[in-house]
Amino acid sequence: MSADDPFAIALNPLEMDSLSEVINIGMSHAATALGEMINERVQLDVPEVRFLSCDDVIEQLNNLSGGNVSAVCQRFDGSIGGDALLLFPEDKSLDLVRLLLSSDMSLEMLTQLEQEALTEVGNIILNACFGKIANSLNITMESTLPSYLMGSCEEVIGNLDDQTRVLFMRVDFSVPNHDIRGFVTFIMDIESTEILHGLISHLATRYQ
Amino acid sequence: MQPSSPLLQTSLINRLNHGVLLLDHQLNVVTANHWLRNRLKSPTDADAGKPITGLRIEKNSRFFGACSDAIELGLASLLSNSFHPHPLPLFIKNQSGTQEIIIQQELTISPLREDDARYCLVEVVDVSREIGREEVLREKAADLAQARDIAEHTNRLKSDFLANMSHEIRTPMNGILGMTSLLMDSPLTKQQLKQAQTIKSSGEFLLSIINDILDFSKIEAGKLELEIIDFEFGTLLEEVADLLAYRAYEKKLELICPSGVIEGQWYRGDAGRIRQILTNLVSNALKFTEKGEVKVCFFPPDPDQLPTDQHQPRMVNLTVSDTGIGLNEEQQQKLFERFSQADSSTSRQFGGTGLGLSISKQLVEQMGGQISVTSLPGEGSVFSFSLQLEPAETCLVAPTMDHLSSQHILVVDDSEASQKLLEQSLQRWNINHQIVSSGPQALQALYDGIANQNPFSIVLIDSDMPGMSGISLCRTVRDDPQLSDSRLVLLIPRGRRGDSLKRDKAKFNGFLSKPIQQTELGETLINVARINVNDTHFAQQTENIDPPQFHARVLVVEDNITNQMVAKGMLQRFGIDVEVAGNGAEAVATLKQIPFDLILMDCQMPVMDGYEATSTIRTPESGVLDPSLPIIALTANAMSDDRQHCIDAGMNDYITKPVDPSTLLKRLQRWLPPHCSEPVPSRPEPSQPPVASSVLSASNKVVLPTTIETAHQPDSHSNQPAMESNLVKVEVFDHCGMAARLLNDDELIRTVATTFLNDMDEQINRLEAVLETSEVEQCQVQAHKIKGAAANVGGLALSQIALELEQASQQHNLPLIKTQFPILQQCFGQLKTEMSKRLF
Repeated sequence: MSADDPFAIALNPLEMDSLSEVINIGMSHAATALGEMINERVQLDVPEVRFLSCDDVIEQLNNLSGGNVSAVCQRFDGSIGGDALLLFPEDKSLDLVRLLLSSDMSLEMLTQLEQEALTEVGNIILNACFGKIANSLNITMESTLPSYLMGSCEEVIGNLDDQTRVLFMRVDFSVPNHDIRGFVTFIMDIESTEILHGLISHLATRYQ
Repeated sequence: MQPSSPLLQTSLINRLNHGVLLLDHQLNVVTANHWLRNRLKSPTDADAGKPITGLRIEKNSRFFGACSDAIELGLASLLSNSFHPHPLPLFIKNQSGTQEIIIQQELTISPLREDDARYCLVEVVDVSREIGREEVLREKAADLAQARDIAEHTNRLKSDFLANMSHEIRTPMNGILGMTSLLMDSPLTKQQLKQAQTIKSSGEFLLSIINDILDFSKIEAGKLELEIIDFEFGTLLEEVADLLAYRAYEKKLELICPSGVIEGQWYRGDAGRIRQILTNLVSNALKFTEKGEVKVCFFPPDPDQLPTDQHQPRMVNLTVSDTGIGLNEEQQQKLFERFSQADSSTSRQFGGTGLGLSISKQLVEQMGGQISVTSLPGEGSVFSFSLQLEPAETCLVAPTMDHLSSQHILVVDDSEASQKLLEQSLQRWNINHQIVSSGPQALQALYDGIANQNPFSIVLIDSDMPGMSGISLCRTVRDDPQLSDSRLVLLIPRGRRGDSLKRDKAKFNGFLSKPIQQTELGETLINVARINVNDTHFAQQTENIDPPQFHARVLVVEDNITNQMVAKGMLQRFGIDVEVAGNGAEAVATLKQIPFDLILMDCQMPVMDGYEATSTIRTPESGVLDPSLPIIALTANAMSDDRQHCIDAGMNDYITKPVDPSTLLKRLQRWLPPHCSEPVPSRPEPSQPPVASSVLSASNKVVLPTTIETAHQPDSHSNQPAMESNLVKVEVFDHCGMAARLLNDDELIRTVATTFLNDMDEQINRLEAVLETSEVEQCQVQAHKIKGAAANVGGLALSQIALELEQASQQHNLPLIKTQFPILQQCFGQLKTEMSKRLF
């Protein structure tokens, strides 16, 4: 995040910590929700928060997923607007569905159910995460119903309504026993980032 | 266009063909549309504004959580049917109206707001029909999976059946082919021989068809396994040529295989399968060619495209070209399809199953290569194929031909291809040579050679040349004393037995079979270069088709009487003593009593099969005399996992039935202990005088008690000549062996012999001296010296007794040493006599 970066928003270290903290609380909630569903421990990485251009976001996602992704996308509106995405490398999404559904199902059946089941899983995770974030920031947001997207990162991001969003937040989670990895990102526009900045600095003063 | 009145809005909601439910912040029903109310258990309670008793939302349910999220956090949720088949108690009557069926649902839950009031909108879609369809598909898929499992199982049964059938077919084929071979070796009238030959060739053809069908079914079943070994392409091509030379000879076709010098082309791969592909292509080429030649070329990997890692596989290419009837475009395209031949009239004219090329294609593809054909009708065809092979781990080095460089060789052959091949070989070995293509040219060259004081030492003469034949050229050369220094080697087609040449054999110094093989050419040249002119011994040797002889006792374990006879007959032709056991248990019992050198073991037998018998024999507690003796499996199943099975059971090798005599010979040569293959003249030479001593038997042989065997039998009298079965016959003087070691240099041989005889007197005196002082260590050293010296000059009997004396010394068995010493002296005396007679 350099000073020359036109997308950059100057958060001081304390604000940065506060934002990470908020996101972390949201993700923990989501991890608990997922963990209850699959009866397994879900591990979370330290969140990464960066301000990026859309192209950079695509590049980032490409590096992470190594190719095609399955994604569940929900649009949030309210004090802050943006697109929340839950992404899995394409070949891993099936493993998660398999964990969730009865194991005696044939592979063909799983593939058919994958899209529907994964959409609900994404819905639960994203709701848990952003519901908690909204709570922490004391704001109201409204989400749309989740939609399922599949394809290259360009295709998935290209599908989103607004191409000017710049905040890229990423939380990796994994189910260690099953080699399942995924990550959550939230992409919002400049206006929302400024509101977010205000909320965070307010929160940071409160912490102080 | 907005609905203009609340009434219109209500009726719009009620008319929707899915469920709509609006809940307030306490999750009480605000509105439920008709669709939903009609499907609830108690439709009468479902009026707007009243709590719906039929709709209880359980706390902690996913539905409850999703509704709370919508109201409290404004979050929308989706409830998929796969996790929550029916969150709401919605029912519908079945078609006959007798039964209520629960509706399969998919729910979406969204937040709604009006000023500060928060609501939750639930939409319900009936997915029963989709689920029903899915159910049907799922059942269909299950049925299909089951059908597939049954088909696979049936296919497996079919493969097993074929494998078993192959066993069943091969066993009688073994009888037919084996007995025919034996029959053909017995005295027969011309007519009978012809009939027997027909049985044999028909049987072999039938066997090849069976093998094709079996291979094909293995490929179909995906069960074909490659057997990976290190091999050399030159040798492999020579083997192919060997196999098909007779057919080429019969049709008077020139078979050039390989067409160029192949040097050190070692690879790892399934040599047997590559041979099979080549045999297929070459025999096809021979079949469809009436005149001209069939040529096999090998192309090593392009050096520019070699992989950087030297262990990586690389691409080699081979072509088989003929001058036959050729194929048109359409025929070429269909050629590699299974069961197809160029056209149906072809199959009537030429026979064959039509599987050969299809199998070859599959084999080539399994080895990472491709096969193709180019052809012009009437001019011939070229089949090309590539193979992806790893380089071999070990490479054997070919013998050097350095000592042939002093020779001057004339090649007389009208075939350009042969000329080229011979030229390449001679060039490679740096041998001075000239090539001519007819008898008169040859004579001219020979006289020129003498005139230029550079006469030809060896002349390689093709037997079949237009105009002056090879034989008449030989006669002419032999009739001129000027040319008597040249040694003549006749090149004859491999298929020909050479009967017609026998009366002329005195004129030749050697024979070489066409197609010419590198190794054979080298050996023949070395041999011919070494012998004296006019010595016909070598010619006789090469002409001699008597099988090699072994001193060995072999146990055949086989339940089938015919197969017993076949195995016995073949082994006896190699001079081997044969015992037969009917099953594994009998074999084990026999082995406890009698020592053997080798076992041929059938695998499937009643009472105790070959695998079990082998495991038993290999157990030290089994009580057999030699638990480690070589065991060769006789198996009718040609699957490569059978081989593994045999090896796992502890067998050393295996032979596939029907047993081929040359394969059997190779296995015997490989596995019989070295002492079994000592050279034995197959016919005793009558000129040998009888030997007086009671210890020495007739004809240049000494009978010695073998301490090795008596060691197993402590009760027998080890220091006395024991039963015949415990004796080993050893040659007193191996003249040939000594001569070979001393490069047939007569003068050198005599010098060495004289030195040896003088020295040995001294050595034996020393031995006697240490014996008197009873210094066994010294005795051992001395005996060791005698052993080595005697072996060097071909004094085999002396060397053997010295070895035994050495062993006895090692065991401090003084009485045995003392009884053996006189025998040693006797042996030396005998050797002295033999040497003097032969050398001086």
